[in-house]
Amino acid sequence: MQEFKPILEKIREYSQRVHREFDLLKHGLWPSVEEAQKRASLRDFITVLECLFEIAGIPAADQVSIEKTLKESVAREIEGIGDAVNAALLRAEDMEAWRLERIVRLLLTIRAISDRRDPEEEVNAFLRRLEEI
Amino acid sequence: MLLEKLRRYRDFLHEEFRKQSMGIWNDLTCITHKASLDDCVTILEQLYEIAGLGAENARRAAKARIYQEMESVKDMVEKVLQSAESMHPWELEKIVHSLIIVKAISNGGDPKKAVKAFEKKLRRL
Repeated sequence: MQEFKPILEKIREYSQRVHREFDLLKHGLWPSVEEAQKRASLRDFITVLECLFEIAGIPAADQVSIEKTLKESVAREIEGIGDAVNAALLRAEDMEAWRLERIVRLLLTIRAISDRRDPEEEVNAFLRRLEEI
Repeated sequence: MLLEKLRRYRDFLHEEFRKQSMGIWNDLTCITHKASLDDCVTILEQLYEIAGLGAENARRAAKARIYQEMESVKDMVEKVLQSAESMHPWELEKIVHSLIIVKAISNGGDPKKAVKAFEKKLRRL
């Protein structure tokens, strides 16, 4: 039994350390989430959501369905600004060239994502074509 | 010469604009099936910017939706946190990892570094 003592001691230390860290972190969880909503990038905020799924032990299938719901929400948001986007596209004829260039880049990004191509590559190819003129 | 270059630049942009804006809404209708959540959000940001509304507003709107989703898992998360005492330490270690990531993101730090630092502390035991 004596030979196991150091191992058992290590396991006890490990357990204590993990519990101590857990106690420190759990109290600040929801304030941290609220702070992340204000300060973090959108991608990081999605990571926060994924962490919460993992803590809650939500099965992968449910995570997919939650993600689907979120995507639908974003799609509704996309539809919601449709008129504003169309109005901006109609104004394109009268736009200054640098502003139009920016819009073309944004449209290229959208088209690339939609066609499952790399947006950065598409924009770079456009910039190369622009340099050639 | 310079004026000619400017004219070519403008013509090129208008041509590209016509190509890219044609049928844009048709592409977007099936976006929820094809693209990842990340990509959907990127598209939303681009559209906000085109509309002159600022990408920050798009992010705020998307974050508000995600926050609603978080509210719905809050009870489940709380239950797990309350049952921590009876967990095996290695189960708890996974939860601690997630908590560290949330904290690091909220503090504007690097989540990967924060997790590594914790693992280093454990290895030192």
